[in-house]
Amino acid sequence: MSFVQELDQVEQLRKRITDLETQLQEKEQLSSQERHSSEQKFRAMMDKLPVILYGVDTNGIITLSEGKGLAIYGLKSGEAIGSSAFDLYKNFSEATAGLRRALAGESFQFIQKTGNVYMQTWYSPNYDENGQLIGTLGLMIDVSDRIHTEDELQESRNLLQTVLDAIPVRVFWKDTESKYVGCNQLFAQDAKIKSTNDLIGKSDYDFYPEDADAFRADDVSIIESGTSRLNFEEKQMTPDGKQMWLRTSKIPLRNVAGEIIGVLGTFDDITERKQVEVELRESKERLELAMDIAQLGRWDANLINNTTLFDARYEKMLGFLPGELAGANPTRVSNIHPDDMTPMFEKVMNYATGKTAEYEAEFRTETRDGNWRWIYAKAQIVERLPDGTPLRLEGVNQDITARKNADQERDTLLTNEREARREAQEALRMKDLFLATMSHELRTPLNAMIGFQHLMLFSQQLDADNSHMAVRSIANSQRLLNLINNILDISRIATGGLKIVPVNMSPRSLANGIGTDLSLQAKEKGLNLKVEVDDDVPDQILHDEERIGQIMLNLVGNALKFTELNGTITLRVHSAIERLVIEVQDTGIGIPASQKHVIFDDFVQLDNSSTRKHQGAGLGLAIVKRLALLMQGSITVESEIGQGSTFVVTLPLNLKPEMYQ
Amino acid sequence: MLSPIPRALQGWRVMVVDDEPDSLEIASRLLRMAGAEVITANGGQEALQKVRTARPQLIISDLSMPEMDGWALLNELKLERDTLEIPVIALTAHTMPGDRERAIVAGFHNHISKPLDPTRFISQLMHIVVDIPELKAQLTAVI
Repeated sequence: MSFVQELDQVEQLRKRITDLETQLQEKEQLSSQERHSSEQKFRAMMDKLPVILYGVDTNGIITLSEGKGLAIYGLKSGEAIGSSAFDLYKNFSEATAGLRRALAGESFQFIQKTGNVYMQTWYSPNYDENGQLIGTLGLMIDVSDRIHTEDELQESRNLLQTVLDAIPVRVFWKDTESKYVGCNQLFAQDAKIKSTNDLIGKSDYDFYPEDADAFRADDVSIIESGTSRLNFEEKQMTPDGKQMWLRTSKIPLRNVAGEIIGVLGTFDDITERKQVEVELRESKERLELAMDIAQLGRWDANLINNTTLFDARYEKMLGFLPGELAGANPTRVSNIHPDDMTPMFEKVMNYATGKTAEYEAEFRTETRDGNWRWIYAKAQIVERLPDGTPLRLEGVNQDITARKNADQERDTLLTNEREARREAQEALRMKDLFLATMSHELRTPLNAMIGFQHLMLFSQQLDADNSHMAVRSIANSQRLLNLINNILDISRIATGGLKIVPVNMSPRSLANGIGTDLSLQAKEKGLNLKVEVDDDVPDQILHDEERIGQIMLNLVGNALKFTELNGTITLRVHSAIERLVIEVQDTGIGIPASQKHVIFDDFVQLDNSSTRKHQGAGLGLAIVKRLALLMQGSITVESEIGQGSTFVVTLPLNLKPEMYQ
Repeated sequence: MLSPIPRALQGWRVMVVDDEPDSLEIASRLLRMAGAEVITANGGQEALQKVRTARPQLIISDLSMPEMDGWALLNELKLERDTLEIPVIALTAHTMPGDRERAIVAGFHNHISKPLDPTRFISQLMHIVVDIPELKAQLTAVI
């Protein structure tokens, strides 16, 4: 019996009861026996119905209590009459409150819960014939089963929601108008709504206005076609403006009758995966670009079956069409120049067997049109057999022909340059040899001339005129000899042919010797030549005696040349910390400040007029300066016009022999 | 004017060894002007041949000569008891730096730079021989 049918019956019963009461009232005058029998009939009927019919007076005292339903409370019909309904309900506030409302004259119905029992209850005020309220009438029907069923339904609904909320997929369902009917929590989070209930009745236009048209079109096509769309990727702009990538499935939602009532959709957030994909693609593109720019061809060699796969770029590098090289064609190895083949295979084998830590090779390979290109290859083992034997070698090839050509060109240039340098050195050696020969050949006759001229004078057999001519002849020979010596010295210094030879020597004896040698010349010119050697100058030093002598001779000779009658020339030698200082002071004509920087240049004499008063080629100071530099020394000059000049040569006190070998 | 050569070497017997005839002649003439008796040799070989009979008190020898040079000559002289005590003076060219020191180490008594300076040659020689007792004695006797 359905609930509605039950209610109808109860309603009919209620009417009947009212009728019966009316009849009862009408038949009040009927005998108690009759009444009694009628009550018995009523009670017998009520005891068959699973309801409770009860009446309460205005004080809550039960006046009527009938029906099979009383058994729920452990009562029988008529049993509770005379007791207080409030006492009966004292533990059930809901029932008590209902009763008070009814006793206040209200007519209503509600579901009264007493313990686990749910009673659908109707209250109706009870009036006497004068219209005076005398209590209330109640009818109660046990609806616990129905209530419990509803609870279970709710529970199962909750469980479904919980399950939907728990699965890591967005789930939603919409009606045919694309209005949301439900969703899971994940979906709600994306839509930035608190509760899944807030979604109900809304559409994509409320949450995803940018994409709503597309979503709606999708829904419509699914609703109209009745077919699902599974696992498609689509974009969605989130309410806070972020781009999401979704993998969506939408299926038509049907009711029990099989009619489409909406769309059920699920989707995954694949934004991260999509980003990784994009990054992967971009980095792959970048790699390809880099390989394009670097002209790197990729290859993959199988060492077991001896086949090599080449990529299209490498094929293009060698002028092949795509696929021409890429096939597993072992004969392609013969592209490699015969001379380079063995070394290359050796390198592969050395790497494959672990003899070398890496594989790197350079070889020539033939292009499609028969030209040779230089290739640089580098590779790594990328796969091994279970026993460790290398299986696959993956590598890159780079065309290094341009570099190789440049290398070769550079080598040729280097060889040429070396040859040129060798020739230049040979020329220099020849020049030195020539110089040495010339030096000897020029000086030997001159020295002989000077020697014999002296012998003529010493013979004491010349008269005054002849003596004079012999003396002039000697003086001019000496000049020529000095010039030759100077030119040869300058040229030997310039070509590095002049060697410094450190020997044990006494600066004191050297200076005094120079003084003695030049004293005659000074006397002849009416000059005063002084030699001063400080006491602190060591008696013996390691130096080039001949070169120091040459410096002194040139400086004093220079001073003699430029100092007038009665002038004084002083050769002074002193030593400072690890320094030997040679100073030559004169009272001569002096040097203008503007000319100081040129006096050490080759062939310079300050007076360039054609009628020069002073003899000499202007090589003396240049030689002094070069000799000083050769011995890690320096030269300076202090001078004032008309007052004289002081030349100061500073040298190391001792030479280091290892520097002059 | 040049001073005349002093006859400081009066009574000396000096041998001069040089392969260059002009150098040899100049040195010989200067020595003779100074009073010395001069024996000439144009190389090491000739010097060795003449030295035993001529018995010079002093030998002045060029270093670089063909066949037997000054160094070899010195070695030969040092090998013979008769000749090992004759002082030998080396003539060192300044185109051969380092010869001076090496000459002393090798056993030459001293050295004189070549080319000879005619004005100084005799005085250089006189300075050198003052430490040779018998020659110095002869010198003092003259001066």
